[in-house]
Order: sequence, then C-alpha cells, then structure tokens
Amino acid sequence: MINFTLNGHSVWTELPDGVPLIDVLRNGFGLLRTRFGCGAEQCGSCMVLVDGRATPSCMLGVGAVAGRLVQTVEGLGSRGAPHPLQSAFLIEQAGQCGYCLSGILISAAALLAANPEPDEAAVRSALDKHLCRCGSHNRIVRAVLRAAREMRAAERAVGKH
Amino acid sequence: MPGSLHTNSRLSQWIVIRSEGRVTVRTGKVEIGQGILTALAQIAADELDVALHRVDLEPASTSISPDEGVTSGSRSVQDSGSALRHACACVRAIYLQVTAQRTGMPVEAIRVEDGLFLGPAGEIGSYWAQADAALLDCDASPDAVPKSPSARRIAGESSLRLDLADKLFGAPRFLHDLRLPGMVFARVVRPPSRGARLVAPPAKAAAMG
Repeated sequence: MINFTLNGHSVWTELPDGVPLIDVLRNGFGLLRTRFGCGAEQCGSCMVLVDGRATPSCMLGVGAVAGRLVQTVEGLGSRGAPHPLQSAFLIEQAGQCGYCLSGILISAAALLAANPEPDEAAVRSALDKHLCRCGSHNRIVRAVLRAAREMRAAERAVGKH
Repeated sequence: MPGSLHTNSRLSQWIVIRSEGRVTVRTGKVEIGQGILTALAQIAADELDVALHRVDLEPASTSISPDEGVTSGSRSVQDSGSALRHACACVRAIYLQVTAQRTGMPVEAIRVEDGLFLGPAGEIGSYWAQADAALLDCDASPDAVPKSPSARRIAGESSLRLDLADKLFGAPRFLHDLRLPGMVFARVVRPPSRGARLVAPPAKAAAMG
C-alpha cells in the first residue's frame, strides 16, 4: 500500500511500486490534466509537483512518492478560482493546441513559489525542459512574468513580504 | 458554391438558430490549436450580425457535422470559412425575407443588429423570436451576397480563443481524455534490439479501472 498526499488529500494505492505515477494519476485517480508526451522525461508534458519540485511523472514509479506531497494541475486552480498563472495565460492568449500547457503551468508554479520576482531569463530557464511545438513560447514567458507581477501586487495589497 | 458548401449544401448542416438567443455553428474542420473554431465564429457573427458571444461552435462530429474531409493544408478558413460565410449570408437573407413578409416592411429598410431586426421605428423581429428549424432545411442559394470586406467588423479583429480556457482549466479536449464504456487500452511493444524475438507476452498490468 502506497500512501501519499494528492492535491491536499490523503490517498493510497495498491498498485505496484513501479507503475508510472502518470498512469496512477490519469487512470487510477481520473486526473486527466497531466499529459503523456514522450514517456522519456524529455518533453515536460507530464510534470507534476512532488514536494514542491517540478518532476516528470512518466517514468517515476508511484513508490517514489510514498509519504510525499503530490500536486497536479487540477490542484492549482479552477475556472471559479483560477491560479494567477491561469488568468495570466488567458489574458496573454498563451497557447495554441494546449497540450504542453499543463506541464508548463506546473513548472511555472514551482518557479514562482521559489522565486517571486523572476526576470525573463529565469523564466526561460525554468521552462527549458518544456517543448511547445506550436511556438507559443514568447506568449508563455510573458504570461509567467505577468502572473508574477499580479501575485506580488496581491501580496503587497495584504501586507505580506 | 464556395468551399465545402458545394458538397454540403443544406443550410441546416451549418447553422442552427436557437430561440434562447444563441446560434449553433457546425463545421467539419477540427480545432487542433490553429484557432479555426474562433475564426469561424468570427465569420459567422459578422455575416449574421450577431454578437460573437452568441455563437457556439460545435466540435466536428461524424454524426452531425458537414463532411469537409481533412483538416490540413491551412485550408480551413478557405474551405469552411468561405462556405460558412455564404451559408450565413443565406440565413440572414431568409430571415430578412420572413420579417419583411410578416411586417410589410421592405427588406432594404430593415437593419440587423445583434440578432434583432430593426425598422425605422425600432425592433420588428429577431432571429430568436422567429427561430424555426424548417426555415433552414433547404439548400443554400447561389444568389446570397456576403458582406464586402470593408463591412466586416468582427473578422479581422483579435478575438479571444474560444478553446483556450478549456485547455487551461482542464476540460477534456484531447483524444487521450476520452473514456468510453468498456474501453480498453493498448500499446505497441517494440523489440529492444535488432533480431530480438518475443518469447512471451508482457505480464498483464494491474487493472487500473
């Protein structure tokens, strides 16, 4: 039995240790927003947060997340309560086919949690592992920078530092 | 007949006017990130004279959509857009004719604004109040005249992509997200090196539900 925390909830699975985390998330828990791309940790589509770090899930055995905090895109925000990144991506129209966006949102969320004031170079570096074949890169970078500004403004408005 | 209207000539294949104030547009072209559904919505909104937010683009379905063959070659605006532009011009003309007959107002005196038909003294009808599927159960007429490019107000302007919010908030829009009753999954098992032989099938994966 493998216990872990998934989007804030305590969950368990009896699947074998070696089953890739992405399969457990998509087929076991029905969380379809983590996307399968290459199956070789090369494209970034399948990124999830494990203890706050952006991590590919296509080869990671579910046993490796025992006792850890796992967060998928579903845990970032919803239409009713969007994450600032989701709002920023909409405003900047940062996406075309959209297949890369889940993974990119995860890496961007990890970046902003660790570095609330990234410059463009830091954003490009954080997203370096992601492939967007449609070519929305520049809009995506603008969206992440916009989200960072919005999040800092929101924190100033409530007096956080 | 322009574009795919040539092989899908019935207006009801392309447009459904709904009494609740919305227009359903059908296309045989698939949204793959190129933004075609948004472009087609803009074209339809312009020709019908309805606000863009009233247009619902129905995703291509083999059971109900016009058959436009493949989505490729950057041809979708050309094939589907030109068909839709002409079809919408037909729909507008039909509804204008109906309104003219009902009110005695000459067609030339009627303006169409966001789905309302306006005479000199105000509203005399609307697509919504006169919505009737039978009106569009006919072939497109070659005589309908779409608006001139200078009269377009929505096509040619930047519009928010209709599909992007779904993709950012996780509505299932990819084939990989399809879950059908009794569905099973398969994958190709490839030899790891030249000359390798399959000795036995891979062990069954644990049931994933």
